[in-house]
Amino acid sequence: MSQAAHTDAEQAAVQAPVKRSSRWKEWSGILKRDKRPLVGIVILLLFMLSAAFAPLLTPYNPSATQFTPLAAPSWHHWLGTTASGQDVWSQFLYGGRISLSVGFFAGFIATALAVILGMLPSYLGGWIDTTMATFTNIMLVIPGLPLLIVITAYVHQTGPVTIALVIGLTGWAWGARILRSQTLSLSRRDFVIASRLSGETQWRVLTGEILPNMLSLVVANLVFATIAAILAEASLEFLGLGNPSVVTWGTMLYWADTGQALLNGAWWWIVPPGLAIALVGLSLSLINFGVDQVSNPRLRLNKVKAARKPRKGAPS
Amino acid sequence: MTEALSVDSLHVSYFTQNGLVPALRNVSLSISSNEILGLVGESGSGKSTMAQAVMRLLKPDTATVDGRILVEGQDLYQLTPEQLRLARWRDIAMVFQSSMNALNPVLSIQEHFTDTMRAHLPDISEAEILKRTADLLGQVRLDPAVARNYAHELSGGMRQRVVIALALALDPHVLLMDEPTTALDVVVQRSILDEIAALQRNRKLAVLFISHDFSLVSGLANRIAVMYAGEIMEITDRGMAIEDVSKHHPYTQGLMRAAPRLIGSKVSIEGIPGEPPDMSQVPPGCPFYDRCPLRLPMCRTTPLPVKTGRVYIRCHAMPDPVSGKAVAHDV
Amino acid sequence: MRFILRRLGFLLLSLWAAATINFVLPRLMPGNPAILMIGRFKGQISPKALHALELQFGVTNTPLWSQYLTYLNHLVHGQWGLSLTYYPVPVSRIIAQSLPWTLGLVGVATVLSVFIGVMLGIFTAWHRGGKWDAILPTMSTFTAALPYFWLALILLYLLGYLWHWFPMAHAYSSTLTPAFTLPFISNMLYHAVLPALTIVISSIGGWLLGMRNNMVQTLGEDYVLFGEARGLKSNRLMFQYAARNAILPSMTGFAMAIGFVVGGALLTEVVFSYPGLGYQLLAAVQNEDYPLMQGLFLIIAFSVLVANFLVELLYGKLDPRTRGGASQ
Repeated sequence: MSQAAHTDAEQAAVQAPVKRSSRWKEWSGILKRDKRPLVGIVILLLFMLSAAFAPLLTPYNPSATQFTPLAAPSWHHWLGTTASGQDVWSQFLYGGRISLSVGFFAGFIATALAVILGMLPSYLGGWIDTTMATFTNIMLVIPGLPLLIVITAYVHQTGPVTIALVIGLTGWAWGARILRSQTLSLSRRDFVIASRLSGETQWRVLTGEILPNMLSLVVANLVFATIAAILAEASLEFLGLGNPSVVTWGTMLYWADTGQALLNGAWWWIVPPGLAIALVGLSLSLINFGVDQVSNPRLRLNKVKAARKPRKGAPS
Repeated sequence: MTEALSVDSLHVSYFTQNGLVPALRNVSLSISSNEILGLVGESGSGKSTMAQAVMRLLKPDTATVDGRILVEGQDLYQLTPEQLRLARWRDIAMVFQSSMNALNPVLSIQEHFTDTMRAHLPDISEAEILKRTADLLGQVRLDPAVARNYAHELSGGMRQRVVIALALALDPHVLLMDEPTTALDVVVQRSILDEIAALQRNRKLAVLFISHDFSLVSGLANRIAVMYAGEIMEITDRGMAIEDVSKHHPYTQGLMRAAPRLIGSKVSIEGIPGEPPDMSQVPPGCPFYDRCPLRLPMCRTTPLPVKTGRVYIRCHAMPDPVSGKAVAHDV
Repeated sequence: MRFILRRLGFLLLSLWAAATINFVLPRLMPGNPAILMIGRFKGQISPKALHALELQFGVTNTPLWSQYLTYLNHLVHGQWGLSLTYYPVPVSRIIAQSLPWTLGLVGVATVLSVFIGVMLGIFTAWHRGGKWDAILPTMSTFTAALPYFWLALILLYLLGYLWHWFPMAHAYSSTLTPAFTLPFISNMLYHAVLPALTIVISSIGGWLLGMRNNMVQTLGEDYVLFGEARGLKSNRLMFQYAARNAILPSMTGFAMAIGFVVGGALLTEVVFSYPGLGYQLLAAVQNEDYPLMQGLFLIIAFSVLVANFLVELLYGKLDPRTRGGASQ
């Protein structure tokens, strides 16, 4: 039927090899119609820039304990002070540097592992693929945070870098599964078989034909992995498993909790770091709305120019 | 006498990124009961859109529809949603293309029948449903035990037969068939077509049979409508279809010449050079202008005349089979 | 039937894998951390217990495979060691006390979350482009990005500290003793509201978005259109034709989803001092009580795996394509 035929054709067109220039047109078309990815990009840039330019945005040292403790927000201290007399705004800015970079770093590791462990074995096939797939499935069902907690408990000297490594090394399974199934379906497609038959080496087929068509999937994976990593890092630090003397959004919340911020009504200490994490996560998800629409045309929004009557229920 | 199905000045346009694109332009046709009208056209000619428009299945934010669809005198587009729901299947039913996907994978065949019957006959008993289902399956020459199966357990041919049986479940008077055998192999195709012909004869159904295969349709239908670029180019009847090829619309001639013949004198097979027009930029004159071997200068700018009637040809260069006049004018 | 056996096989394999990870981890770390721990507790526990610890954590000269077999043997027989924090209480006893609290909290919260999330997902997809579809998906993305523990803190602050609507900690008032009486149960529910609310708010977004996206895909399928053409009622189409097919992909991702929820529940318990497995796990980590930590990790992993297995069975019931063979 028309609908299925319509969208089938669209889908086929997207999954077939697309040239670079028309890919750019696709993305800009989506951005124009759906504002959400744009909002996401703006929010993310705001955080990244404020973290990068921290010294320009605050005169204080984040660890300096020289101010009046638990002071409410004021002109001198935009976000007030902590129980030890540190300026919250400075902590927020400098802490953002580490939280964001740890998040991206861990997300990157997890995605790289997912690409290697997901694509390669499934492409090679045979027992390599079956073993790896089972291993991936097992790693998927083992609950993440408890595992992270146990691992960091054993490692006595933890810091942002260790945490990033641990998160990256345990967080690849979800991406690997998705990339594996996509690789499997792609390697059966005609254009890949054709290139194999025409004598391309396996490596070239992998990097030249399959990988370019999974790009949007890999990017989506990177986005999710980063969100998850930022959350995981903050959770571990909140529990006190990070290095408490390093200022990050997570350790801020750790100190806020142990410093009885709530009972002292110091909302300015608790709200900003958590809200920042939530907003960064939100921005990445919003960006992902756009990435989603690149890989799955059915989700694309069609801004219809003619008058649209609001539909009640699907039947016409 | 009210026609079983009457399509009156149907215009359908789709909403796209580039604005409204027409798919059907001023299509009119009618089918009497106990008649099969074939609708032939190449991919993209608008034939599937036709089927969906007639059943009023196009969503308001997907396409605009103008015109009237009269099923035994009742305009489907004037009905309320609830009236429409009840009229569907009871008055007019449809056999979908690609029955591969027409059946819900998580429900058994029996549940499909049960759903259909209960939706229209809420008081029907369980026993009656089972009996009717077995009966319908028998009519399409399937083992009644198939009712217990799920869609993925049946072959393509069996699924198509189930879809046909479902279409007949409420004894409709009008039946739409959209490429019902395209996805099947030739042997199964033949037997299903024979069954369709038999069912139509027995129940005196009005059938709109949509296909891209002219020779297949000419063997089955009483009349054949030929569609191109969203317009009806010609309606001919079975007798005339076998006769002299040159008495038909140039596009129809192309279709007839493109099919191989098993018997009869040797003819060379020719395709029709060129491609259908881009519907977002349709020229004002005849849409077949670019590919027509008989084209005249006026064909590019003068729109084709609107025609009604049981058989006709819409062409500036061909004589109308009814009136015999070379350049057609408004009837 | 083969389907059930396959899933059972996977369950057993994963259980074994979780147990093995538990065994391998302390031995993988540079400079076996258990040595320090054992050193700390040397004077406080019996020599027999000390020796058991050494064996359990590999601070010994017995060959690795022998340690492994002993470990598995003890595991299967329920000898999960003695807790060091609560010495000499066995780990299994502490688990037995904390498990019901976590199961209750996570179980109820997840059921609510799934039910409401899936329903809302169905409705927003059915009325695609409507006003709810403009708000809910974006809102869900936001709530899904909220850190569990932060949401817990905010709820604690607003609804507990500031407005005094709900208690701020623990599973029940310290003045009451656990019993199956109405006052106790209502007190217990009263204490459970904030933690449960945290979990529901955080996890509902995922279900909603997943279901909505699946529904959008499913609504474009031919069998839904065919059902509509047959004059079926909207409700029937929405649930039996669209939703029932749309929910299947969500179920295959259930294990991961539950893993996240458990992690979040863990953090929530810590914030509210709710005496479940998560709360105990953190305490164990802070006290370097490795036996307890290992036991808790295992039981958490096991619970997730079993829950996933049950959902997979349910999937088998809902999707006839998994059953294989003819239904004659």
